[in-house]
Amino acid sequence: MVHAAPLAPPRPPSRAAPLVKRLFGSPLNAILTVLVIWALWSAAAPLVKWAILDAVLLPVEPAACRDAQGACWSFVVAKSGQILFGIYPIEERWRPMLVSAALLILLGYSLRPAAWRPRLAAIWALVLPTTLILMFGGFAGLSYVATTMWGGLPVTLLLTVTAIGGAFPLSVLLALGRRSDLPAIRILSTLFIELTRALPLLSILFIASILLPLLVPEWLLPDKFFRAMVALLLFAAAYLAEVVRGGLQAVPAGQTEAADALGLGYWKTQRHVILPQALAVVIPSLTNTVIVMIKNTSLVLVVGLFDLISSGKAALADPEWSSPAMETYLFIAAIYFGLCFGFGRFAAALERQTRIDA
Amino acid sequence: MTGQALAPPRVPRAPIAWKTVAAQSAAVALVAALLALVVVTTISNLQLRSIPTGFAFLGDRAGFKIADTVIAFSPDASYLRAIAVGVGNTLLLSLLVCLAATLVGVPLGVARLSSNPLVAGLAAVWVEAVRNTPPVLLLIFLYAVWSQAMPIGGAKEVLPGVLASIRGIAVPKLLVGFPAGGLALALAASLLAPVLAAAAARRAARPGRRRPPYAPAALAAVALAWIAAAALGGWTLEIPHAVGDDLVGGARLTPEFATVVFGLSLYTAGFIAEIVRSGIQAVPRGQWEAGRALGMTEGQILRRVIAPQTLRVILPPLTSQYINTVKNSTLAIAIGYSEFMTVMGTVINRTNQPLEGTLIIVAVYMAINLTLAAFLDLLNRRVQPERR
Amino acid sequence: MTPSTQPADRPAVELAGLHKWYGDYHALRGVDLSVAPGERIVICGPSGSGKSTLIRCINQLERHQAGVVRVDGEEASADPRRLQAIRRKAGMVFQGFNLFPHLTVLQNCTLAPLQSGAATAAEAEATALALLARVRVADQVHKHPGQLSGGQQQRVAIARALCMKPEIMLFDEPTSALDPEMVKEVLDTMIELARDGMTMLAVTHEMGFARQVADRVIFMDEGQILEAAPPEDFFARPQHERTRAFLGQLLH
Repeated sequence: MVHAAPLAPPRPPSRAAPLVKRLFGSPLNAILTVLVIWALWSAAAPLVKWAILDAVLLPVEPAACRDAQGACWSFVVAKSGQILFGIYPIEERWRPMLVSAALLILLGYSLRPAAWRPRLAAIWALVLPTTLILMFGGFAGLSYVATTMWGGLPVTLLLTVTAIGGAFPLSVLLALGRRSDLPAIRILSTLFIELTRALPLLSILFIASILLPLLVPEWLLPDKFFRAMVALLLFAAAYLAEVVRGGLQAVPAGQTEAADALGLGYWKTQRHVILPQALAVVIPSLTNTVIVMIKNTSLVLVVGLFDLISSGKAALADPEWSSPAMETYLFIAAIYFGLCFGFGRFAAALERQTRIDA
Repeated sequence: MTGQALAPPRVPRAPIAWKTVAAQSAAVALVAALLALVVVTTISNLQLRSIPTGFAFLGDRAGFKIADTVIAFSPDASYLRAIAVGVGNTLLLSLLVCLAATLVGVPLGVARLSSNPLVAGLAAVWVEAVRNTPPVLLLIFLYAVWSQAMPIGGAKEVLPGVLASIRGIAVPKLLVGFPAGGLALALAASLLAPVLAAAAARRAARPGRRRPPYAPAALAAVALAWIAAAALGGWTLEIPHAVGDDLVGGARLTPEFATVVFGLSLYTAGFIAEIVRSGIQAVPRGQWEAGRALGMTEGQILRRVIAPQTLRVILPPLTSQYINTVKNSTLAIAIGYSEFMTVMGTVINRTNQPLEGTLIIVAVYMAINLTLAAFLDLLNRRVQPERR
Repeated sequence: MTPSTQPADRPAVELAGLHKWYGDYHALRGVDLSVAPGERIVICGPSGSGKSTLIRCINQLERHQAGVVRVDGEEASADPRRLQAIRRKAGMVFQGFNLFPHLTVLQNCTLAPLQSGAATAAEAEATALALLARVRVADQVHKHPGQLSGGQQQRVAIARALCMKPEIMLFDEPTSALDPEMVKEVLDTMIELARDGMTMLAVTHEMGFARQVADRVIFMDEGQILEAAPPEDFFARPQHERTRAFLGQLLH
């Protein structure tokens, strides 16, 4: 028999046909397509009219908004600075901008397994306090800005990143503790994790803000901002602990046995053999937790801190403008969407690359 | 005597590992020290600010109003009753949201896998929008939309018989007058029918044969009992009408309640859709192939082979989503619906007893959580296959 | 297990000029094969040679892009009714068993006949019980697949395929996922099936089985049939260089 060389596949039918076939191929699909197009038309047409056709973008002044039939985007343009950075002094806005950029880069950098070295802990220990100090100011010619003036995007990012950064080592200890053979440690870890996960975050924030002044000496937690940060940190620790525990369970038992056979002790085994594998497995869950924490910081509006949403509300209170609530909240939603979706896509790309390199 | 199994030898007790004892004692001591520090600070602070202690305040007059109530409440009622109203509101809200979100989320999850690109695309947009938006923002946005969309000084008819205005929504209410014994009879039937049907089904079951479905028969019997009781007693349909923007008659829902239920249902439906989608995709492809190889149609395979296996896979994440919904109900505080946390906030504010208030909050949520988790775990265990 | 009831002059399976691409990858490069009723064929070859693809094209779990596939005279096309007719004539046993875990063994076997309307409940159950007894799992009929051993599961899978009363049986590496001590019980079942006259195409590495039962052994490589011969000739005098190399590796 002659050895046949591979042939090119037959030419597929034209591009357009499959799409039309999928939309109208079966009776069910045809009905659904018609329904969806009708629904989109009845919903989208007035929406497009409001948001684009009748909308007002320029000039950026209150009079234009009052007369507008459609959306008033001039308000958003005028107030975007306040929404994004709160009532931070305008001349000093470069500081929160810098801080926000630094925190985003730090998050993205830390997700790569290639970066997981002891050096990473040092980087976090350096960057986090530096960002806080930069926000406070009060030295080297930088004016002092109290936490009551902080607001918007930097508050969201600061709370998220410090909560996750601080919670991470604690969560690893909790996860190891929950799997420990020592009963006292196991019970304590389990109690903390289960108690924290049973409570809504809002109640934890609430309890933290009303109870901590009572439980802890004044000098330890002077500030609403830091009380909220502690609450978010403890909350993140409990959830991250469960994520890490899932990763630990996924590592085959044979790994521990091999390490024992080689004479490595408990802590060395965890550090060099088990944890790297466990953490690599749960990168998707870790990024999911980061996205959830970004969204969770929006709750601090209930305890009186100025994140993106409450900054938006404050901007709406300006008596000079007509208070276009929908446009403002859509803008804020777009920011959150950009943050969360962008971070999610970045993490997915990272995961794909990790799998190829592995 | 070779090869016979022997009893194990008596092993002397292992020596005490002092290192592990020391480690555990250190951990316990650390926690105890922290607790001691906290207790001491608290007591001194309480005395400093002359804050009362104890739960006696629960019997005191509440002195504030609550807009949405499942049970009757007035400012003269006690704090305890106010808290009960809050818990009731939370439970009602969570139940409605779980129901609505499941009803919408399951078809949405299936839609995401549809071959129709419009349907699949729309479902994907919904899910992605919901996953990347904070729920509290969604609620605040919907509330703002409500205030702007409602006509000023009047009401709009959204569906036949359903009126909406700035004051809320009113739906037609069914009033049934049950005859004296009728209600008792209907209740008795509702309780007895499932029990009897289950017993009959168990007797009819034989090994290898599935238990004949008793649920439809029991449900039909219960429904008949209620319809009969209602028919005997007479019934009226109260249709709401508008006086200005005030809504009279029918069952009224406050705009806060309607917004929270609608918003949280939309939000949770997206997550349930994702759970359903990954559940369907988690069933191994070999199951589809085996069904096809046996000559079954795609629809038959989906119904008899894939769907039952999907149910097992999605039940654990679905139950934790339900528990999450109870926690998400606290977001209602952002638009002023009086669920449990809102009420507790007011109570703590008025009584100035944050310690006792916190204990109540923790106790209630732990109770809800444990009950829900236990019930759902039972359900889960019934659904999982028997293993070797 | 009834002997094949096809007319002797019509081939059970007919493949002519069969080509299959996965994207740009040319998996089957012009395969011609004719299987007579009652014939037993063993297909072997290195991995990636297209053996599983070939078998899966016969019952159209994979669609071919060029050439003809005919099962008992029924030609494969996109028409769903044709597809179903073909799939009822061809039974398949998978490497991973693919039993339905949420149904009992008995229900696994009666599901498809009941769904297709080919039998009443009583008939389906009677057939299933008889076949399950033949494959020697009669005492497990009310258990779930997860409670059986691998060998038992595969035997149930064979019975399940037979409950549809197929004309031909396709085996896709039926013993590759089994522990060695269970391979024999499955092979014995297949041998019994062959002895009763069932038309079979089996992709397998079990050369002992091939020697015992096959009418023809086929060697595939790179999407083509390189050699086809009765077992005595195939093993004693392989014609092709690559057949010899493959057999050398296998029979180490």
